[in-house]
Amino acid sequence: MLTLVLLLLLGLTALFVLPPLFREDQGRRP
Amino acid sequence: MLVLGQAALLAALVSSAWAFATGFLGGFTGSDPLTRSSGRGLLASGCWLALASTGLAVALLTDDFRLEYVVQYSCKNQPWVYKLSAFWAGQGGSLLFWALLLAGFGSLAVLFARRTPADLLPWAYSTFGTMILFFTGVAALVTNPFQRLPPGTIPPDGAGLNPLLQNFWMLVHPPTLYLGYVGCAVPFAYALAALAAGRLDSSWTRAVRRTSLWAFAFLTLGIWLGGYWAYIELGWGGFWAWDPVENASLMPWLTLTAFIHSIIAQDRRGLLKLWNLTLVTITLMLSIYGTFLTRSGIIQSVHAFTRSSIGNGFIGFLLLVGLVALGLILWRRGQLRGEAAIESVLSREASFLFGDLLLLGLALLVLILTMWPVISQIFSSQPVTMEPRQFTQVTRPWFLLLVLMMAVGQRAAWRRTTPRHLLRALALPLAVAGAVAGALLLGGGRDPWSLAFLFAAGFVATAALSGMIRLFRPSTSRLSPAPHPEPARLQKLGGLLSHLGVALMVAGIALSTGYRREAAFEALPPGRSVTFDNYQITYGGFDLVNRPEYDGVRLKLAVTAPGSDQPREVMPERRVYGRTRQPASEVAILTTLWPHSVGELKRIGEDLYVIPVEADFGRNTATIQVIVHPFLNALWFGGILLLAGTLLAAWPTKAVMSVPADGNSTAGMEPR
Repeated sequence: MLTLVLLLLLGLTALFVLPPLFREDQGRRP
Repeated sequence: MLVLGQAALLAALVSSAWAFATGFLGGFTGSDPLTRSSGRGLLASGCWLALASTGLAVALLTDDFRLEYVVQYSCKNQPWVYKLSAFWAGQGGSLLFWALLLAGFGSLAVLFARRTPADLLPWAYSTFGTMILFFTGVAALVTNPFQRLPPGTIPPDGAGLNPLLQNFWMLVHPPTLYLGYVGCAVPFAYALAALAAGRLDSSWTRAVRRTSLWAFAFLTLGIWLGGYWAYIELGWGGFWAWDPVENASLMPWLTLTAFIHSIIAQDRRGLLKLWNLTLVTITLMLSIYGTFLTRSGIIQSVHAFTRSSIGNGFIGFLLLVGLVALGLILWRRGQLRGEAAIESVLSREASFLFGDLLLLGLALLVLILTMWPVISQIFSSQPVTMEPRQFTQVTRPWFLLLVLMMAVGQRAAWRRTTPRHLLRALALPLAVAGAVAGALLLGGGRDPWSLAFLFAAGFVATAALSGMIRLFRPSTSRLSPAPHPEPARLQKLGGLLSHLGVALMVAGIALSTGYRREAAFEALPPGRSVTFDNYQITYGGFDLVNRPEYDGVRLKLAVTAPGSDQPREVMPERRVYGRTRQPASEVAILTTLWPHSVGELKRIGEDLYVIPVEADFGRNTATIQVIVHPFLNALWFGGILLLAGTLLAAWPTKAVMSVPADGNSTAGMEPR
């Protein structure tokens, strides 16, 4: 049960933290 | 909910590790996507830690005795607020609370990222990630609050929260202090980021100015609440005992005080850069040390409500923090020279430097004395513990010097001042201070330290008050030609108000400890009147009190204050709590804010403190101890002023929030 819930939460984390990595680097803001 | 809480704690471990790793890489590569991902890792950590905390809170509120933590710190007939406050009563819960607050501050840093120079962000996120990772790691892997009892051993009820902790003040004191401790992590994260990014101008000090003031406000309020709780609940007649855990909150407070002053010098003149980095690192180390001390039981303390095995982890983390900061400082040492030099010993910036030295020295002195039981074992087989009296004797000359410095620093000009100008600026404060101390001397006050501190308090208070008047008076003087802009005026007023508060606190401490009077009256029969220091106290028997949480004896006393003809009823209680049969005194305090006659003016802010010692059921007699604390309420009121001043200085204003492009754009904002 714990493993299932943990996997669910980790999946949600990945969905949240990964997308910025696939966006183009717009360089540093001034 | 338990499973969800436990899973969320583990998920926070992963997301904070992600924030650390991507932040670190983002800092190295300058990659914006990595930095953004790191920020999202911090937000996710905040979310999962909030979920884990909700899980623990629900378990506490619903008496879920499957959890060892709930059994240890809660019980069924505990009021719901104390069930909730059991959250931070134990080790696992308080570490989870630390991590939650840290992630909260980290998330705020992400949400307000636009106000910070972009090259500081990845390193700041990475630092937050590391700290959250450490605290979550200890909470999840070493002292997990979600640890379950084996099936079949689940008890029908828990042990309950320590009765001393079951009152309003203890409900708010720990979380406030924790907010202060954890708040110190924010300036540290940006300091480390500034070092890593090599951006060592005043952009980082400007970014953390307000957060540091908030952390200072919380730390001050936490210490204030702790002192007030000790005074009204512990029943020994004092507010500060130099207990290791009290010292643990005082030390970061001292160094944070130094930091919030000396960043002004970096902001104004690009000075004291190395000092600011050192102070903020030491402040964070001392706050972690404070948490460690509360939680480890390494030194015997009234606060050691818990015992633990987390010592090595904490020492390791402290070493890591210190070494990383030291390494970065050495690496960037070439950039840490001031943009200008301190031109004269008689200047505002030099006084900040003296203040830094005094505050840091005091913090180190308190640290050495606190750790003396450990240090003394190096050359002695028996641990030697310092008495509170010894702490006071060693530290008071330094405190005196510090209080005197407050007024000098406030009136010294930037760059340089001539001795004549400074003396002229300080003439009125010196005269008032002399008059106040002289009045005490004429009134029969002979204690030299109380006289000296009262002099210093009068000096600072007058300097602060005259500063406030100058702030709002249209000036025609050549020395301050420009009218003060509004935001700077608020900040300056906040600073002056804080100084006034400290002066009142110093006077309250000096007079209440120097001229404290006490007496014990044994076996008073009902109807007997006694007189002490012109207070007339009549004992009128006692009542028995039976409550679900405790059994007690309530003494009925009628007290007539000096100069008054109206007796007031006070009812101190002696209690025995719950199954543990722990005794506690509920003292009665009669406060004279303003005396009843002009002849008793010396009693302004005085407390009569009545401690119930014993009641004899057979003969109906009672033994009481009575203490008179002159001027003590100035301490509590001064603390409130200090807090109000800090909040005023931290108040958001447009001019302060914007990050100027060049380092000189605030020049002239600070009034002279």
